Amino acid sequence: MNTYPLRGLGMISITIFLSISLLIYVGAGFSEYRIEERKNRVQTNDLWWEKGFISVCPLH
Amino acid sequence: MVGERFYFCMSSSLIQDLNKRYHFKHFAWVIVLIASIIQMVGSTIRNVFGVMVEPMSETFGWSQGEIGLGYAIAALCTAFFSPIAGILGDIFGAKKTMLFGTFMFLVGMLLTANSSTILEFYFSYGIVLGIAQSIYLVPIVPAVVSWFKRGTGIGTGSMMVAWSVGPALSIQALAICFENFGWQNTFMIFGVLGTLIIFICLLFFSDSPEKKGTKPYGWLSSDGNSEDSITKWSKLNQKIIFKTDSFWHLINIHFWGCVGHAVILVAVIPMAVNNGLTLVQASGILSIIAVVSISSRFAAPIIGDKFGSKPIIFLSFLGQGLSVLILLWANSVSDFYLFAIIFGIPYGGEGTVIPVINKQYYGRFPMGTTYGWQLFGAGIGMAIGGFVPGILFDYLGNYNFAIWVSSISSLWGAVIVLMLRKTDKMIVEYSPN
Repeated sequence: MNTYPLRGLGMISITIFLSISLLIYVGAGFSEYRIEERKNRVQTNDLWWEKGFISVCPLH
Repeated sequence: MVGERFYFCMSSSLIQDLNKRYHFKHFAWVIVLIASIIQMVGSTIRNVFGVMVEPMSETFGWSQGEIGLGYAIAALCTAFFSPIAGILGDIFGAKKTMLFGTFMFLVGMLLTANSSTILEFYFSYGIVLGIAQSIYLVPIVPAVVSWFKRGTGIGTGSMMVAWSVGPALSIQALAICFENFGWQNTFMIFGVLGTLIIFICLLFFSDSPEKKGTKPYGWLSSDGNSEDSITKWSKLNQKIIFKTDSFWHLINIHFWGCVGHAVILVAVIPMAVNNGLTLVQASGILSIIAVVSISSRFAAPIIGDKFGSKPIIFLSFLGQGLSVLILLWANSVSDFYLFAIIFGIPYGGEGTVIPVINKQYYGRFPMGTTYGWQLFGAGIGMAIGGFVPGILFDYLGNYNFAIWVSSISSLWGAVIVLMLRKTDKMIVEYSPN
């Protein structure tokens, strides 16, 4: 038994990073889709989080 | 006549053999029975949520998304309150904590029945019932485990079957009640009846064999009183558990496992309907998963207890991660049903070994706090896994990406399982209280 659970906490940190990355990627992809839909005049409301997701995600 | 007599003799000797082996007169089995009934009643109202969406939508004109948000709030409240419920169970005892949770359940059910605006619904169903569910369901599993010195697997396995059987039995009954009495009256009736059943069960419940003045199931005279000092919760000893890698790994494993199966449980029906199955055929997939998983829910803790929990958790995660890939090619009823059978086995075994591994690592120390944190990981995983597939489908037009998310989550969970220590001996040395 070690004094500090470094491996356990390290793996939890990786989990938090991966989960946030996945949520940002999915959220940005969904936001991009909604913005495209509006351009094509399909009725979707402009939501406050759409631009936020796109600006945070480096892949969108 | 001779045949009947032979059959009677055979069955009575079988019962005697089973009784000799499992000591059915031990009070631990009463605790298992009580825990199973409480789990069945308590988990029903969450598991049958799908049935109440349509009637509520018709009554108030709320959209399915608005009603679904109530479910998400309830799931998150349960997740965030699970560690607190575990701590309360350790400090005040499972019985007192669950009595308080039962009272909250009654209040939540009556308030939900009388809610007429969406905000009232979010408060009563989402917050009050969400918190109530964690308070009366989290402390019960550690309490049952504390009743077993040996044979934890058979005790846990018997109780875990209730998770599948409860919703399977009650979903039709509730659907009929919704149809005949309306959803408000059903909530009132079920709230009062459910509270009464849980309350009566709790009258006979005892937190631990020590409080009942008896020995735990499987105790041998050679064991002596060596564990007496660690059966009481202490902050100091809980800190020793927090300092083990396995404590954090088990939260992590629960999280990834729940992301893995939540994606499938939410998306498999729309996925099947998109592939041309009727709604009834598609519903059969979940029914098959529920039925098949009963066997592994029962067997996995027993195997884990006997041969070590680590291999069985690893195989369950591996099986869950690989079996979902069948869905990438599934396009007929037989494909989806084959998937349901292959997926149901590892899915059932994946989470039910956790109480056994807790016991193997941490002994008979009260594990409400530990288990509460593990359920926190599970709850967050269920919320993320339930939320992602719908959004992915909206902009990609298919569920392939969601299937890969599910598969990789389970396989990553399997990798973390490999980092766990062997389960052949306890991994902590407690300080005497």
